[in-house]
Amino acid sequence: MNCEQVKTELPDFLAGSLNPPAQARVQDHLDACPDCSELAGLWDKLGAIPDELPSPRLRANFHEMLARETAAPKRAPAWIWQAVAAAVIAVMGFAAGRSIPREQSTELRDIRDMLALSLLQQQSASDRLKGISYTYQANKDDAQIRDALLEALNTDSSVDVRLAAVDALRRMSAQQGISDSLERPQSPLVQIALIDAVVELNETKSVAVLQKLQAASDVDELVKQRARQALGQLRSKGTL
Amino acid sequence: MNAVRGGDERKLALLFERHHAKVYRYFLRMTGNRQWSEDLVQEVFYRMLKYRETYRPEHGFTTWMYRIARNAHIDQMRKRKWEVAMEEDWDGPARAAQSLDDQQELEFVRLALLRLPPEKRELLVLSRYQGLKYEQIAELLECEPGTVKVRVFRAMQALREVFFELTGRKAS
Repeated sequence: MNCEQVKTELPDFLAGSLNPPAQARVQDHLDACPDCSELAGLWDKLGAIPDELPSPRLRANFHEMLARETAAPKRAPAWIWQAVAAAVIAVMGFAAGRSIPREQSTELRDIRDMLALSLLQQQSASDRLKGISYTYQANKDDAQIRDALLEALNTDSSVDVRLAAVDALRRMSAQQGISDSLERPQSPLVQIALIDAVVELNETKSVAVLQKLQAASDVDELVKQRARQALGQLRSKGTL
Repeated sequence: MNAVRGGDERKLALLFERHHAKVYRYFLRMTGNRQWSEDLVQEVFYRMLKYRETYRPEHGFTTWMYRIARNAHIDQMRKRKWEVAMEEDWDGPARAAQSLDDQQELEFVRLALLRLPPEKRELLVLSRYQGLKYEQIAELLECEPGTVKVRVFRAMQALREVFFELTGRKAS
């Protein structure tokens, strides 16, 4: 085999896609020809240049773009919700001045829940954050609020909203939802918050996910570290 | 991608998680600039959404994705021609286990790759780093697989020349 013949074989040889006899023929030529063997050496060196990851900003920009491009155009204008918020605050202020009978307090809570759910649907991230803060006054076992928070956690375009949703869900002890969310692709910041929540809630079902996270190749290094640490913490708490 | 084409646009987030790092590295090796590369990745996923109708499953997702990536890069190069060239800032993070000599050698290889003409650089990037088979590259470049192999060989020869120029070494 001469250099001319190697020309068409070498790329396959380098890609490892030749059959064994052909692979051996090219190898024989490389052993005898410093010129071609230098090319093979360079190919190896190309492969040794380390990889790097993009900054977290890229993911945030992507989700912002996706939310913008897929935003539903049929949401009520923000001023309507601001008016509702003003009315509710007025009612709450009025009620705060008196001792509230039990039925009235439930009614108030319903209005607050409704407001929280509506705000969570708003286009502006600050409105949705406001919605999350209203959920703190809801019952800890309100399924509708919990579902709305889980939806925010898993689909909201803003990292701030997703982080706030983790905190709110933690208060509601929504182990299952938090643990499920850990399996989805998320921003590293949110993943770390989720791991913190899992540890706090002693969620043993997440062990498999944590193990997967610490071993995955496409997961942020900090997240891996935190997952490792979390497994240790769950172990020392005696949950494992 | 089938789901995205069928109207479930939010599934694009899954494709993003699976492929964005790879696409980023393609651009980083092509442009040598991190900011440009991130902008281009964003552009690729935006175009995927915008042109989702053009996706044909029988042609494979990878080839379609790289076709979009190449076009985005070509458009960007046209646009940037009129701007002051942005400096390359990809400085290739060193691996702790490498000796200083090895690091220096790899640095020269990396610089040589960036100095190659774009069409040669692209062939090496696609075949060496992006893990594309010669058949896939041939489909992307609309030529025969045999032609791709010959071009890869020539690109390697060109890389060696630039590498020797940079290191001051002579070809054997």
